[in-house]
Amino acid sequence: MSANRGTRTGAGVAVVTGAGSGIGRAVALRLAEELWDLAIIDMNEDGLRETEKLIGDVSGAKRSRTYVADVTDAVHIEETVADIVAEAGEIKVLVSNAGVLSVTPVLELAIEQWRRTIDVNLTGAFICTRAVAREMVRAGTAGRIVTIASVHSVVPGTNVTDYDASKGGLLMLTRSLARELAPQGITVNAVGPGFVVTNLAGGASEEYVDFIVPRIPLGRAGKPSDVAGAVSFLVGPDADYVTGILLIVDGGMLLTADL
Amino acid sequence: MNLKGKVAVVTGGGRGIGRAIVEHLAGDGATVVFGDVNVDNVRDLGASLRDSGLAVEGVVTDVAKKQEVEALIDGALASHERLDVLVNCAGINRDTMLHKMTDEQWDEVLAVDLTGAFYATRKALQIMRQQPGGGSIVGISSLSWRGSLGQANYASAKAGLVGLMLTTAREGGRFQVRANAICPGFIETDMTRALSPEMWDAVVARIPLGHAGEPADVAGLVAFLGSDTAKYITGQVIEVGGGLVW
Repeated sequence: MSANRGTRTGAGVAVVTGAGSGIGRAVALRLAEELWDLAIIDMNEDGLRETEKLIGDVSGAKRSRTYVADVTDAVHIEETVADIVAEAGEIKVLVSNAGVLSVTPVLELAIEQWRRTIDVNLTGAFICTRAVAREMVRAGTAGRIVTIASVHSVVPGTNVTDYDASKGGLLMLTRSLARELAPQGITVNAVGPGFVVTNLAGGASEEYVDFIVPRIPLGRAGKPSDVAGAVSFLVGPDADYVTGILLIVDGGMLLTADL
Repeated sequence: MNLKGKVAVVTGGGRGIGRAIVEHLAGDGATVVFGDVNVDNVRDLGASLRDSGLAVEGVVTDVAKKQEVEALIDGALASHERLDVLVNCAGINRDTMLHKMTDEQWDEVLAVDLTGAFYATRKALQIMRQQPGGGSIVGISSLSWRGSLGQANYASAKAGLVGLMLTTAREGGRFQVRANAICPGFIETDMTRALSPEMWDAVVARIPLGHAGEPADVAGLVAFLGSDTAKYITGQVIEVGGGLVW
Protein backbone atom coordinates (compact mmCIF):
# COMPACT_ATOMS: atom_id res chain seq x y z
CA MET A 1 0.00 0.00 0.00
CA SER A 2 1.48 3.35 -0.96
CA ALA A 3 1.86 6.18 1.50
CA ASN A 4 -0.68 8.19 -0.47
CA ARG A 5 -3.60 5.99 0.44
CA GLY A 6 -5.69 6.79 3.43
CA THR A 7 -8.96 8.13 4.62
CA ARG A 8 -9.93 11.71 4.26
CA THR A 9 -12.15 13.58 6.65
CA GLY A 10 -13.36 17.11 6.20
CA ALA A 11 -10.09 18.62 7.28
CA GLY A 12 -8.62 20.82 4.60
CA VAL A 13 -9.57 23.31 1.93
CA ALA A 14 -11.93 22.59 -0.94
CA VAL A 15 -11.90 25.03 -3.88
CA VAL A 16 -15.08 25.27 -5.97
CA THR A 17 -15.32 27.36 -9.14
CA GLY A 18 -18.60 28.75 -10.40
CA ALA A 19 -19.85 28.53 -6.82
CA GLY A 20 -22.09 31.56 -7.14
CA SER A 21 -25.06 29.58 -8.41
CA GLY A 22 -26.50 26.26 -9.50
CA ILE A 23 -24.39 23.12 -9.21
CA GLY A 24 -21.35 25.02 -7.89
CA ARG A 25 -23.37 26.41 -5.02
CA ALA A 26 -24.90 23.01 -4.21
CA VAL A 27 -21.45 21.43 -4.19
CA ALA A 28 -20.07 24.13 -1.90
CA LEU A 29 -22.98 23.66 0.52
CA ARG A 30 -22.61 19.88 0.57
CA LEU A 31 -18.88 20.07 1.22
CA ALA A 32 -19.45 22.65 3.96
CA GLU A 33 -21.89 20.24 5.64
CA GLU A 34 -19.11 17.65 5.49
CA LEU A 35 -16.81 20.06 7.33
CA TRP A 36 -14.56 21.13 4.47
CA ASP A 37 -13.30 24.70 4.55
CA LEU A 38 -14.49 26.31 1.31
CA ALA A 39 -12.68 28.67 -1.05
CA ILE A 40 -15.40 29.67 -3.49
CA ILE A 41 -14.65 31.33 -6.82
CA ASP A 42 -17.01 33.03 -9.29
CA MET A 43 -17.15 36.09 -11.53
CA ASN A 44 -20.45 37.06 -9.94
CA GLU A 45 -19.79 38.68 -6.58
CA ASP A 46 -23.45 38.84 -5.55
CA GLY A 47 -23.85 35.13 -6.20
CA LEU A 48 -20.72 34.39 -4.19
CA ARG A 49 -21.96 36.42 -1.24
CA GLU A 50 -25.24 34.55 -1.29
CA THR A 51 -23.44 31.19 -1.36
CA GLU A 52 -21.25 32.34 1.51
CA LYS A 53 -24.33 33.26 3.54
CA LEU A 54 -25.95 29.89 2.82
CA ILE A 55 -22.78 28.09 3.87
CA GLY A 56 -22.88 29.97 7.16
CA ASP A 57 -26.52 28.93 7.61
CA VAL A 58 -25.87 25.20 7.08
CA SER A 59 -22.57 24.88 8.84
CA GLY A 60 -23.22 27.35 11.61
CA ALA A 61 -19.70 28.66 11.34
CA LYS A 62 -17.54 30.79 9.09
CA ARG A 63 -16.41 28.10 6.75
CA SER A 64 -15.83 29.89 3.49
CA ARG A 65 -13.69 32.49 1.79
CA THR A 66 -14.80 34.20 -1.42
CA TYR A 67 -12.64 35.04 -4.44
CA VAL A 68 -14.01 36.99 -7.41
CA ALA A 69 -12.18 35.71 -10.48
CA ASP A 70 -12.62 34.70 -14.13
CA VAL A 71 -11.43 31.14 -14.77
CA THR A 72 -10.21 32.15 -18.24
CA ASP A 73 -7.64 34.55 -16.69
CA ALA A 74 -4.65 32.29 -16.09
CA VAL A 75 -2.54 34.88 -14.27
CA HIS A 76 -5.32 35.88 -11.90
CA ILE A 77 -6.29 32.27 -11.20
CA GLU A 78 -2.70 31.43 -10.29
CA GLU A 79 -2.60 34.45 -7.96
CA THR A 80 -5.94 33.38 -6.46
CA VAL A 81 -4.65 29.87 -5.74
CA ALA A 82 -1.59 31.35 -4.02
CA ASP A 83 -3.90 33.62 -1.96
CA ILE A 84 -6.06 30.64 -0.96
CA VAL A 85 -3.04 28.68 0.26
CA ALA A 86 -1.74 31.69 2.19
CA GLU A 87 -5.12 32.51 3.76
CA ALA A 88 -6.80 29.12 4.18
CA GLY A 89 -4.13 26.45 4.07
CA GLU A 90 -3.52 23.22 2.19
CA ILE A 91 -5.80 22.68 -0.82
CA LYS A 92 -7.04 19.09 -0.76
CA VAL A 93 -9.95 19.35 -3.20
CA LEU A 94 -10.75 21.24 -6.39
CA VAL A 95 -14.17 21.11 -8.00
CA SER A 96 -13.80 22.68 -11.45
CA ASN A 97 -17.40 23.58 -12.25
CA ALA A 98 -17.56 27.02 -13.92
CA GLY A 99 -19.32 26.72 -17.26
CA VAL A 100 -21.53 28.45 -19.81
CA LEU A 101 -24.17 27.24 -22.24
CA SER A 102 -26.09 28.85 -25.06
CA VAL A 103 -28.35 27.21 -27.61
CA THR A 104 -27.61 27.86 -31.29
CA PRO A 105 -27.92 25.62 -34.38
CA VAL A 106 -24.41 24.83 -35.57
CA LEU A 107 -24.74 26.46 -39.00
CA GLU A 108 -25.58 29.76 -37.27
CA LEU A 109 -22.97 29.38 -34.54
CA ALA A 110 -20.63 32.40 -34.63
CA ILE A 111 -16.93 31.91 -34.08
CA GLU A 112 -17.00 34.33 -31.13
CA GLN A 113 -19.54 32.21 -29.28
CA TRP A 114 -17.62 29.00 -30.08
CA ARG A 115 -14.41 30.52 -28.74
CA ARG A 116 -16.12 31.83 -25.60
CA THR A 117 -17.68 28.46 -24.76
CA ILE A 118 -14.40 26.56 -25.28
CA ASP A 119 -12.53 29.24 -23.35
CA VAL A 120 -14.71 29.02 -20.23
CA ASN A 121 -15.73 25.35 -20.23
CA LEU A 122 -12.48 23.75 -21.36
CA THR A 123 -9.58 26.19 -21.16
CA GLY A 124 -10.89 27.56 -17.86
CA ALA A 125 -10.90 24.03 -16.48
CA PHE A 126 -7.35 23.50 -17.73
CA ILE A 127 -6.26 26.75 -16.08
CA CYS A 128 -7.85 25.90 -12.72
CA THR A 129 -6.80 22.24 -12.63
CA ARG A 130 -3.25 23.04 -13.68
CA ALA A 131 -2.92 25.74 -11.03
CA VAL A 132 -4.25 23.55 -8.22
CA ALA A 133 -2.39 20.45 -9.39
CA ARG A 134 0.88 22.40 -9.36
CA GLU A 135 0.17 23.44 -5.78
CA MET A 136 -0.82 19.89 -4.72
CA VAL A 137 2.38 18.48 -6.19
CA ARG A 138 4.48 21.25 -4.61
CA ALA A 139 2.89 20.57 -1.20
CA GLY A 140 2.94 16.77 -1.56
CA THR A 141 -0.84 16.62 -1.19
CA ALA A 142 -2.57 13.42 -2.38
CA GLY A 143 -5.60 15.52 -3.29
CA ARG A 144 -8.86 15.13 -5.20
CA ILE A 145 -9.88 16.95 -8.37
CA VAL A 146 -13.41 16.71 -9.76
CA THR A 147 -14.50 18.32 -13.03
CA ILE A 148 -18.15 18.96 -13.79
CA ALA A 149 -18.57 17.58 -17.30
CA SER A 150 -21.94 16.48 -18.71
CA VAL A 151 -23.79 13.64 -20.39
CA HIS A 152 -22.88 15.70 -23.45
CA SER A 153 -19.30 14.67 -22.95
CA VAL A 154 -20.35 11.43 -24.65
CA VAL A 155 -23.72 12.02 -26.35
CA PRO A 156 -24.58 15.14 -28.36
CA GLY A 157 -27.40 17.46 -27.34
CA THR A 158 -29.51 19.61 -29.64
CA ASN A 159 -28.18 22.91 -30.98
CA VAL A 160 -25.32 22.94 -28.44
CA THR A 161 -22.37 21.95 -30.62
CA ASP A 162 -19.90 24.24 -28.86
CA TYR A 163 -21.03 22.99 -25.45
CA ASP A 164 -20.84 19.33 -26.59
CA ALA A 165 -17.30 19.83 -27.90
CA SER A 166 -16.19 21.63 -24.75
CA LYS A 167 -17.57 18.89 -22.49
CA GLY A 168 -16.05 16.14 -24.65
CA GLY A 169 -12.71 17.88 -24.38
CA LEU A 170 -13.21 18.30 -20.64
CA LEU A 171 -13.65 14.51 -20.27
CA MET A 172 -10.34 13.83 -21.98
CA LEU A 173 -8.65 16.60 -19.98
CA THR A 174 -9.90 14.82 -16.86
CA ARG A 175 -8.67 11.40 -18.00
CA SER A 176 -5.30 12.77 -19.06
CA LEU A 177 -4.86 14.56 -15.72
CA ALA A 178 -5.81 11.36 -13.91
CA ARG A 179 -3.08 9.49 -15.71
CA GLU A 180 -0.38 12.14 -15.22
CA LEU A 181 -1.14 12.91 -11.58
CA ALA A 182 -1.66 9.31 -10.42
CA PRO A 183 1.98 8.88 -9.36
CA GLN A 184 1.44 11.71 -6.84
CA GLY A 185 -1.65 9.93 -5.47
CA ILE A 186 -3.96 12.65 -6.81
CA THR A 187 -7.25 11.32 -8.18
CA VAL A 188 -9.08 13.17 -10.97
CA ASN A 189 -12.63 12.30 -12.00
CA ALA A 190 -15.49 13.86 -13.94
CA VAL A 191 -19.14 14.04 -12.92
CA GLY A 192 -21.61 14.10 -15.82
CA PRO A 193 -24.95 15.67 -14.93
CA GLY A 194 -27.92 14.91 -17.16
CA PHE A 195 -30.85 17.30 -17.18
CA VAL A 196 -30.50 19.39 -14.03
CA VAL A 197 -32.64 22.46 -13.41
CA THR A 198 -30.45 25.53 -12.83
CA ASN A 199 -30.12 28.98 -14.35
CA LEU A 200 -27.62 27.76 -16.94
CA ALA A 201 -28.61 29.34 -20.26
CA GLY A 202 -31.43 31.13 -18.49
CA GLY A 203 -33.10 27.88 -17.54
CA ALA A 204 -34.83 25.35 -19.75
CA SER A 205 -38.06 26.20 -21.59
CA GLU A 206 -41.29 24.60 -20.46
CA GLU A 207 -41.51 22.83 -23.82
CA TYR A 208 -38.11 21.25 -23.29
CA VAL A 209 -38.97 20.17 -19.75
CA ASP A 210 -42.21 18.57 -21.03
CA PHE A 211 -40.20 16.85 -23.78
CA ILE A 212 -37.31 15.54 -21.70
CA VAL A 213 -38.73 14.49 -18.31
CA PRO A 214 -40.91 11.66 -19.71
CA ARG A 215 -37.74 10.31 -21.35
CA ILE A 216 -35.93 10.02 -18.03
CA PRO A 217 -36.43 6.56 -16.46
CA LEU A 218 -36.53 7.93 -12.91
CA GLY A 219 -39.25 10.34 -14.02
CA ARG A 220 -37.84 13.64 -12.80
CA ALA A 221 -35.27 16.28 -13.59
CA GLY A 222 -32.07 16.20 -11.60
CA LYS A 223 -31.35 18.59 -8.77
CA PRO A 224 -28.05 20.30 -8.07
CA SER A 225 -27.97 18.33 -4.79
CA ASP A 226 -27.94 15.06 -6.80
CA VAL A 227 -24.74 16.20 -8.49
CA ALA A 228 -23.30 17.42 -5.19
CA GLY A 229 -23.80 13.94 -3.74
CA ALA A 230 -21.68 12.41 -6.50
CA VAL A 231 -18.94 14.98 -5.89
CA SER A 232 -19.10 14.20 -2.17
CA PHE A 233 -18.44 10.51 -2.89
CA LEU A 234 -15.52 11.24 -5.22
CA VAL A 235 -13.73 13.50 -2.72
CA GLY A 236 -14.42 11.22 0.23
CA PRO A 237 -12.68 8.23 1.83
CA ASP A 238 -14.66 5.61 -0.12
CA ALA A 239 -13.23 6.73 -3.49
CA ASP A 240 -9.49 6.26 -2.87
CA TYR A 241 -9.14 3.84 -5.77
CA VAL A 242 -11.40 5.67 -8.24
CA THR A 243 -9.67 7.84 -10.83
CA GLY A 244 -10.13 8.73 -14.47
CA ILE A 245 -13.86 7.98 -14.55
CA LEU A 246 -16.95 9.81 -15.78
CA LEU A 247 -19.68 9.39 -13.14
CA ILE A 248 -22.94 10.20 -14.87
CA VAL A 249 -25.84 11.46 -12.74
CA ASP A 250 -28.80 11.50 -15.13
CA GLY A 251 -31.68 9.44 -13.75
CA GLY A 252 -31.10 6.97 -16.60
CA MET A 253 -31.65 9.52 -19.37
CA LEU A 254 -28.89 8.16 -21.60
CA LEU A 255 -30.48 4.70 -21.53
CA THR A 256 -33.36 5.97 -23.61
CA ALA A 257 -30.93 7.79 -25.95
CA ASP A 258 -33.76 9.90 -27.22
CA LEU A 259 -32.50 13.36 -26.41
CA MET B 1 -22.55 6.44 3.75
CA ASN B 2 -25.72 6.31 5.78
CA LEU B 3 -27.56 3.04 5.21
CA LYS B 4 -29.54 2.94 8.48
CA GLY B 5 -32.86 1.21 8.06
CA LYS B 6 -31.92 -0.39 4.75
CA VAL B 7 -32.08 -4.12 4.11
CA ALA B 8 -29.45 -5.52 1.74
CA VAL B 9 -28.90 -8.94 0.18
CA VAL B 10 -25.40 -9.78 -1.07
CA THR B 11 -24.66 -12.91 -3.11
CA GLY B 12 -21.16 -14.31 -2.89
CA GLY B 13 -20.78 -12.51 0.42
CA GLY B 14 -18.61 -15.08 2.14
CA ARG B 15 -15.17 -14.03 0.89
CA GLY B 16 -13.19 -11.51 -1.11
CA ILE B 17 -15.03 -8.54 -2.55
CA GLY B 18 -18.41 -9.88 -1.41
CA ARG B 19 -17.24 -10.17 2.15
CA ALA B 20 -15.90 -6.61 2.13
CA ILE B 21 -19.27 -5.45 0.78
CA VAL B 22 -21.14 -7.23 3.58
CA GLU B 23 -18.86 -5.66 6.19
CA HIS B 24 -19.08 -2.17 4.71
CA LEU B 25 -22.86 -2.12 4.25
CA ALA B 26 -23.40 -3.47 7.76
CA GLY B 27 -20.91 -0.99 9.16
CA ASP B 28 -22.89 1.81 7.50
CA GLY B 29 -26.02 0.66 9.33
CA ALA B 30 -27.72 -1.75 6.92
CA THR B 31 -29.19 -5.10 7.86
CA VAL B 32 -27.37 -7.52 5.57
CA VAL B 33 -28.37 -11.03 4.53
CA PHE B 34 -25.63 -12.68 2.48
CA GLY B 35 -25.50 -15.88 0.49
CA ASP B 36 -22.42 -18.00 -0.18
CA VAL B 37 -21.88 -21.51 -1.44
CA ASN B 38 -19.21 -22.26 1.18
CA VAL B 39 -20.69 -23.47 4.48
CA ASP B 40 -17.64 -22.46 6.57
CA ASN B 41 -17.57 -18.93 5.13
CA VAL B 42 -21.27 -18.50 5.89
CA ARG B 43 -20.95 -19.67 9.48
CA ASP B 44 -17.70 -17.88 10.30
CA LEU B 45 -18.44 -14.51 8.74
CA GLY B 46 -21.96 -14.33 10.09
CA ALA B 47 -20.79 -15.12 13.62
CA SER B 48 -17.82 -12.77 13.64
CA LEU B 49 -19.83 -9.80 12.33
CA ARG B 50 -22.67 -10.40 14.76
CA ASP B 51 -20.06 -10.48 17.56
CA SER B 52 -19.12 -6.97 16.44
CA GLY B 53 -22.70 -5.90 16.89
CA LEU B 54 -23.59 -5.80 13.21
CA ALA B 55 -26.92 -6.99 11.80
CA VAL B 56 -25.69 -9.75 9.48
CA GLU B 57 -27.09 -13.19 8.63
CA GLY B 58 -25.61 -15.74 6.25
CA VAL B 59 -27.47 -18.39 4.24
CA VAL B 60 -25.77 -21.18 2.33
CA THR B 61 -26.71 -20.47 -1.29
CA ASP B 62 -25.60 -21.78 -4.67
CA VAL B 63 -26.62 -18.98 -7.04
CA ALA B 64 -26.67 -21.41 -9.99
CA LYS B 65 -29.77 -22.95 -8.38
CA LYS B 66 -32.84 -20.80 -8.86
CA GLN B 67 -34.69 -22.14 -5.81
CA GLU B 68 -31.78 -21.34 -3.49
CA VAL B 69 -31.45 -17.80 -4.82
CA GLU B 70 -35.16 -17.14 -4.47
CA ALA B 71 -35.17 -18.65 -0.96
CA LEU B 72 -32.30 -16.34 0.05
CA ILE B 73 -34.21 -13.26 -1.08
CA ASP B 74 -37.67 -14.39 0.08
CA GLY B 75 -36.17 -15.20 3.48
CA ALA B 76 -34.65 -11.72 3.79
CA LEU B 77 -37.98 -10.15 2.89
CA ALA B 78 -39.90 -12.32 5.36
CA SER B 79 -37.53 -11.45 8.21
CA HIS B 80 -37.13 -7.74 7.49
CA GLU B 81 -40.21 -6.71 5.47
CA ARG B 82 -38.23 -4.79 2.85
CA LEU B 83 -35.51 -5.25 0.28
CA ASP B 84 -33.63 -2.03 -0.45
CA VAL B 85 -30.35 -3.22 -1.96
CA LEU B 86 -29.31 -6.32 -3.94
CA VAL B 87 -25.64 -6.85 -4.73
CA ASN B 88 -24.84 -9.53 -7.33
CA CYS B 89 -21.31 -10.44 -6.31
CA ALA B 90 -21.19 -14.23 -6.56
CA GLY B 91 -18.64 -15.12 -9.20
CA ILE B 92 -16.17 -17.79 -10.23
CA ASN B 93 -13.62 -18.08 -13.02
CA ARG B 94 -12.35 -21.03 -15.07
CA ASP B 95 -9.59 -19.48 -17.17
CA THR B 96 -8.45 -21.16 -20.39
CA MET B 97 -7.58 -19.90 -23.85
CA LEU B 98 -10.71 -20.00 -25.99
CA HIS B 99 -9.54 -22.59 -28.55
CA LYS B 100 -9.06 -25.05 -25.66
CA MET B 101 -12.01 -24.02 -23.50
CA THR B 102 -14.38 -26.84 -22.66
CA ASP B 103 -18.15 -26.71 -22.66
CA GLU B 104 -18.09 -27.27 -18.88
CA GLN B 105 -15.78 -24.32 -18.27
CA TRP B 106 -18.13 -22.09 -20.25
CA ASP B 107 -21.33 -23.44 -18.68
CA GLU B 108 -20.09 -23.25 -15.08
CA VAL B 109 -18.97 -19.64 -15.30
CA LEU B 110 -22.09 -18.47 -17.13
CA ALA B 111 -24.31 -20.32 -14.65
CA VAL B 112 -22.84 -18.63 -11.58
CA ASP B 113 -21.68 -15.26 -12.88
CA LEU B 114 -24.62 -14.38 -15.14
CA THR B 115 -27.59 -16.72 -14.75
CA GLY B 116 -27.26 -16.55 -10.96
CA ALA B 117 -27.45 -12.76 -11.21
CA PHE B 118 -30.51 -13.11 -13.47
CA TYR B 119 -32.30 -15.24 -10.86
CA ALA B 120 -31.47 -12.77 -8.07
CA THR B 121 -32.22 -9.61 -10.06
CA ARG B 122 -35.55 -10.86 -11.39
CA LYS B 123 -36.65 -11.74 -7.85
CA ALA B 124 -35.43 -8.46 -6.39
CA LEU B 125 -37.11 -6.40 -9.11
CA GLN B 126 -40.42 -8.21 -8.49
CA ILE B 127 -40.22 -7.10 -4.86
CA MET B 128 -38.77 -3.61 -5.32
CA ARG B 129 -41.19 -2.47 -8.01
CA GLN B 130 -44.03 -2.96 -5.55
CA GLN B 131 -42.57 -1.22 -2.53
CA PRO B 132 -42.50 2.54 -1.94
CA GLY B 133 -39.06 3.97 -2.49
CA GLY B 134 -38.03 1.34 -5.02
CA GLY B 135 -34.53 0.03 -4.48
CA SER B 136 -30.95 -0.26 -5.71
CA ILE B 137 -29.48 -3.23 -7.57
CA VAL B 138 -25.74 -3.52 -8.19
CA GLY B 139 -23.92 -5.99 -10.42
CA ILE B 140 -20.23 -6.60 -9.78
CA SER B 141 -18.95 -6.89 -13.33
CA SER B 142 -15.26 -6.46 -14.24
CA LEU B 143 -12.96 -4.54 -16.55
CA SER B 144 -12.53 -7.97 -18.15
CA TRP B 145 -15.85 -7.36 -19.93
CA ARG B 146 -13.91 -5.61 -22.66
CA GLY B 147 -12.02 -8.82 -23.43
CA SER B 148 -9.41 -10.63 -21.37
CA LEU B 149 -6.86 -13.29 -22.26
CA GLY B 150 -7.98 -16.74 -21.19
CA GLN B 151 -11.33 -15.40 -19.97
CA ALA B 152 -13.76 -15.75 -22.85
CA ASN B 153 -16.28 -17.25 -20.43
CA TYR B 154 -15.70 -14.74 -17.63
CA ALA B 155 -15.61 -11.73 -19.98
CA SER B 156 -18.83 -12.86 -21.66
CA ALA B 157 -20.59 -13.31 -18.34
CA LYS B 158 -19.36 -9.92 -17.06
CA ALA B 159 -20.43 -8.22 -20.29
CA GLY B 160 -23.77 -9.95 -19.97
CA LEU B 161 -24.09 -8.66 -16.41
CA VAL B 162 -23.70 -5.10 -17.76
CA GLY B 163 -26.55 -5.72 -20.21
CA LEU B 164 -28.69 -7.17 -17.41
CA MET B 165 -28.09 -4.19 -15.09
CA LEU B 166 -28.74 -1.59 -17.79
CA THR B 167 -31.94 -3.28 -18.90
CA THR B 168 -33.07 -3.51 -15.28
CA ALA B 169 -32.40 0.23 -14.94
CA ARG B 170 -34.49 0.95 -17.99
CA GLU B 171 -37.41 -1.25 -16.93
CA GLY B 172 -37.27 -0.42 -13.25
CA GLY B 173 -36.90 3.34 -13.49
CA ARG B 174 -40.53 4.26 -13.22
CA PHE B 175 -40.74 2.25 -10.00
CA GLN B 176 -37.67 4.03 -8.60
CA VAL B 177 -35.65 0.85 -8.95
CA ARG B 178 -32.09 1.80 -9.89
CA ALA B 179 -29.49 -0.60 -11.28
CA ASN B 180 -25.80 -0.09 -12.00
CA ALA B 181 -22.76 -2.19 -12.85
CA ILE B 182 -19.38 -1.79 -11.16
CA CYS B 183 -16.18 -2.73 -12.97
CA PRO B 184 -13.40 -3.44 -10.50
CA GLY B 185 -9.95 -3.40 -11.99
CA PHE B 186 -7.19 -5.47 -10.44
CA ILE B 187 -8.21 -6.22 -6.87
CA GLU B 188 -6.23 -8.38 -4.44
CA THR B 189 -8.40 -11.45 -3.68
CA ASP B 190 -8.09 -15.24 -3.81
CA MET B 191 -8.93 -14.98 -7.51
CA THR B 192 -6.01 -12.69 -8.36
CA ARG B 193 -3.56 -14.08 -5.80
CA ALA B 194 -3.46 -17.18 -8.02
CA LEU B 195 -1.32 -15.25 -10.53
CA SER B 196 2.43 -15.77 -10.64
CA PRO B 197 4.54 -12.94 -9.17
CA GLU B 198 5.75 -12.03 -12.67
CA MET B 199 2.22 -11.72 -14.00
CA TRP B 200 1.13 -9.79 -10.89
CA ASP B 201 3.92 -7.24 -11.36
CA ALA B 202 3.15 -6.93 -15.06
CA VAL B 203 -0.47 -6.05 -14.31
CA VAL B 204 0.36 -3.58 -11.52
CA ALA B 205 2.85 -1.81 -13.79
CA ARG B 206 -0.10 -0.77 -15.96
CA ILE B 207 -2.17 0.71 -13.11
CA PRO B 208 -1.85 4.51 -12.88
CA LEU B 209 -2.19 4.56 -9.07
CA GLY B 210 0.61 1.98 -8.95
CA HIS B 211 -0.95 -0.76 -6.83
CA ALA B 212 -3.72 -3.34 -6.81
CA GLY B 213 -6.99 -2.39 -5.21
CA GLU B 214 -8.46 -3.87 -2.06
CA PRO B 215 -11.92 -5.41 -1.68
CA ALA B 216 -12.79 -2.43 0.55
CA ASP B 217 -12.30 -0.11 -2.44
CA VAL B 218 -15.10 -1.86 -4.31
CA ALA B 219 -17.26 -1.97 -1.18
CA GLY B 220 -17.07 1.82 -0.80
CA LEU B 221 -18.56 2.30 -4.25
CA VAL B 222 -21.28 -0.28 -3.58
CA ALA B 223 -22.25 1.53 -0.36
CA PHE B 224 -22.52 4.80 -2.28
CA LEU B 225 -24.76 3.27 -4.96
CA GLY B 226 -26.96 1.66 -2.31
CA SER B 227 -27.44 4.94 -0.48
CA ASP B 228 -29.92 7.77 -0.99
CA THR B 229 -27.01 10.01 -1.99
CA ALA B 230 -26.95 8.16 -5.31
CA LYS B 231 -30.70 8.16 -5.88
CA TYR B 232 -30.39 9.88 -9.30
CA ILE B 233 -27.68 7.48 -10.55
CA THR B 234 -28.92 4.56 -12.64
CA GLY B 235 -27.93 2.70 -15.78
CA GLN B 236 -24.22 3.32 -15.23
CA VAL B 237 -21.05 1.26 -15.61
CA ILE B 238 -18.60 2.59 -13.03
CA GLU B 239 -14.94 1.62 -12.90
CA VAL B 240 -12.96 1.26 -9.67
CA GLY B 241 -9.54 0.39 -11.02
CA GLY B 242 -7.00 2.93 -9.86
CA GLY B 243 -7.01 4.55 -13.27
CA LEU B 244 -7.55 1.46 -15.37
CA VAL B 245 -10.77 2.27 -17.21
CA TRP B 246 -10.21 0.29 -20.35
